[in-house]
Amino acid sequence: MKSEVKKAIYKKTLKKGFFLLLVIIILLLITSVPVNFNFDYVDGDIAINTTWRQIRNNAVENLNLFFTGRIFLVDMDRGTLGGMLLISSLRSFSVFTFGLLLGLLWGIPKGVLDRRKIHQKGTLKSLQKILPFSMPEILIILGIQVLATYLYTNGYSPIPHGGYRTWMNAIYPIIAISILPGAYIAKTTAESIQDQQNQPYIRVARGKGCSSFRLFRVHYLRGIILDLFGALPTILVMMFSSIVIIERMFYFPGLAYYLVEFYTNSMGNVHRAGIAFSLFIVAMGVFYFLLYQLADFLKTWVRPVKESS
Amino acid sequence: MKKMNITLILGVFIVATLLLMSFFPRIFSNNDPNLRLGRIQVHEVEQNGEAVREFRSAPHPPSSQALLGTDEISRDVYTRIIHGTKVTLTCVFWVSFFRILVGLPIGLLAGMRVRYIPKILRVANSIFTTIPSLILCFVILNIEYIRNLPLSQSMPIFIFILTFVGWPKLASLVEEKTTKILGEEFIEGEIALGKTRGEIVRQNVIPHLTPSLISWGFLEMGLILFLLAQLSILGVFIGPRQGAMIIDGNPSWFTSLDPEWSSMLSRAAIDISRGNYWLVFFPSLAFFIGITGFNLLGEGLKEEFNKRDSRVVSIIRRLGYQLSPKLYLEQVKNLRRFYRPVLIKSSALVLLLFFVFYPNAESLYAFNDHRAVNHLEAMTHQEKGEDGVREYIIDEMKRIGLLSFPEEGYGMDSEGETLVGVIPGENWERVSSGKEDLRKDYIIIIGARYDGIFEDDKLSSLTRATAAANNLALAETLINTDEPLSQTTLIVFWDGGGEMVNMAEPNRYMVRPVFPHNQTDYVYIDMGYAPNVEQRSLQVSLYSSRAQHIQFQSLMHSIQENLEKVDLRHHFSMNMRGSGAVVSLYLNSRYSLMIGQEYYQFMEDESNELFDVNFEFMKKQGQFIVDFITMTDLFD
Repeated sequence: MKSEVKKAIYKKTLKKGFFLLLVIIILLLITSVPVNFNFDYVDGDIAINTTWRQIRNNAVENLNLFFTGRIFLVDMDRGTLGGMLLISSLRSFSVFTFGLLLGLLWGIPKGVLDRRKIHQKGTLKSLQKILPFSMPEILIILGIQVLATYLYTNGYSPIPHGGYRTWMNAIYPIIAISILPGAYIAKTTAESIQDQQNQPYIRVARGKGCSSFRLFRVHYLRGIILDLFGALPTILVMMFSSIVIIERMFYFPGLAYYLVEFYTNSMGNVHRAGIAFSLFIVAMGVFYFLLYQLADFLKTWVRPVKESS
Repeated sequence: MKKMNITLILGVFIVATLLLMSFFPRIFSNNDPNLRLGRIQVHEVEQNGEAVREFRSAPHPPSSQALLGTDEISRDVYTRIIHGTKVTLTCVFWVSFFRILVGLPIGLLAGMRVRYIPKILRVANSIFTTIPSLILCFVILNIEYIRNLPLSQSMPIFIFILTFVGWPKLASLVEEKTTKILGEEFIEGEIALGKTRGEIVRQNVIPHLTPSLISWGFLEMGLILFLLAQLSILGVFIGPRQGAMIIDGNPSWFTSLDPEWSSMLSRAAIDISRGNYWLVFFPSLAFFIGITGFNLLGEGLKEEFNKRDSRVVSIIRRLGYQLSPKLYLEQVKNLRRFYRPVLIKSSALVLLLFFVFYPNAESLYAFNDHRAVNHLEAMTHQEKGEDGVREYIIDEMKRIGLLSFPEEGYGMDSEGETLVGVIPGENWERVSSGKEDLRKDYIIIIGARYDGIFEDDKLSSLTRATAAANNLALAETLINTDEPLSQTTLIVFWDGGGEMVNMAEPNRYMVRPVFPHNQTDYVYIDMGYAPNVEQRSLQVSLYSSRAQHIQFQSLMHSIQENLEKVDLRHHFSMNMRGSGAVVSLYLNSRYSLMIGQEYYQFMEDESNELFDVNFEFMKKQGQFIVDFITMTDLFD
């Protein structure tokens, strides 16, 4: 039996791995089109500003550079591409992880506090559910940046809010990225508590004089964690789009920031920018894919655990 | 008492207001969205106890003059938000519609487990799971060609791309719901009755799916609006962009021509860093309100559809029933009994058909294309080569009755190679006497090249003569109008020279010799070469260094409409194109419109014969300019 399960896991992993490889190849082929790709009007007809031969050569070069690992050694103005990728990935990953942690940190307590409002029905509940998720990131970022500027210029806070010099520059992006997931976590937490509130074991515990804290620690928390695991794919997708916007708005040089820069600015050299763009988009794709798979795995793993409990 | 669905009411209220703003923006703001309010404002401030005057340049913060402030080129933010609602919502609506149109059948087939469809859907979903739609949209929609397309061509591309990246998610929802419905007990009953799968889908699945689909449609609109807001921050928005603050022909940055919500956020990072918060806050707020409206409507409907005795559901069902063509045909058959609904429905149908198929206004004056062909033949059979062509043009200008001004003869430069004839307009006296109203008066210059037709007195390119031939025929049409044109028009024939001249040159070079005493403003129309028979479209470009000029946007739309009216297949761009000799003329014009091909390889071909010229395009080219000058009231 165990070997069958193992086999199934291997098979699934292999399948996912193969799919990821396929996606990487597709991305490398797509990004063989030069970053300055354009259409033009030549001799009365629309024509592309590059040749199929050039695209084919780029594709071969991209695949070759990537699978031999030489792509990481390509020299850019700010060091090798591998170095840039490593540093920017670490920055993005830190913002992502700490953002998620911060979201959990304020989302769960808020959800617990909101559990009373859960009893409210109708409009207010609907509005509470809808409004936070209707807010575009830009509005949140604007609020944070206005506040940051005010605090910084008036000497209330030493935290800078643009670019990257020290780790302190990551603070505002972390706060900004945690808002929407935090709201979602709060909603999930509150709903989880509401689902559990009428369970017989909760009633019994409450009847026997169990304190709210103990009730939360022993009973609710388990359900909340399981529900949050279930909500993780949605949260991660939400955060992934946000990080692109946040890095751009805070001039935070992470993965997404460079990706956009390579594409729009070419950083002086179209050919090298194209190679860098290919690598960064693959890195983003892999990052997103792994996160999603992790979340998906947790969701799949949680379902039977939750049902059995 | 029944409990009111406030979520739905709020959603309907917000969406209805947005629709009102889309269709009747003038109710909310009477200003032109491209109108530039005072660029420099004078403020009285106190400095060291003294009142001093301070000059502040745009952008201006909210004030009584501009409720939500102005942008960097002094356009009213409030007016642009109001007028931008239409473009943004149109895109959102069509994307949602097409996502449903694609997602519904695929989701249904996947739910019914039809062959490879579930697999295809899973793969599509996996691909869009691996490549985030935001990045994909950014990469595709940021291509320079797409960024420069006019709104009418940019919008379909946006709709296509946003539909493409979003349909699998919706199809998956449909698949999930279909599987759920097909698993219901009553379906077994239907199978027992002997219904086919198709019948079950048509009679059971779709009716059960419709409420969810309506609700998803609105929620999808919220998501699309969200995506548009995200794309805007990456500098991607619907419609063309135009350079702003052009110094030495190079724009310092780009701004949108058409008012649209996302375009207003395209410089958000810079605006925030400069402390121009209102430029980001109000458009973001518009997005927030829009997304909230669609989400409330979607959730409200979902809530309503879950009720057993929902009035909204019965209204929707009744409406669907009333609008069914089957019922209409039945009612027509029993006209005596149902004459009222038939009358109402028929009137609505006629109105709708009239609106859709409303014919365009006929051209006031027909362009004489036969005359153009005659000119072409005459010009290409000159024994004296290029000199002969020049003499022919001068003779024709005399015959047509073009004025030569201020001197005798039409030669403008010292060599007499550039030829100019005048068609006096209503403002002729004012502009020729130098007493024109500089704010209102201007002239139209229509130019065409006539060089390169002969080489050593031997015909080298017939196609090169098409521009001048068309220009002569055009002059004849325009001078013979029943009433004089409102603006004086110069018909110019350029002789070669591809060199760029000084930026300040055109006024001196072109306008001043004709009107030496003033700084006459002008609109330049460049008559390009006719295409050959193999070419499928004509090149049209519009350029203005003052693109944010009042009504430029309406002008651009009007040009598009006129091109469609004469059924001219074209490639539109917002770049500076046309004869090299007059490049700098474009830069100082109110705007320049280039219509016709630039130089192309075939022109120098030895086999360049008369029958190779695409006369159909040549005719449309001339007719378009005639209509544009005589029927479009957009020069002011």
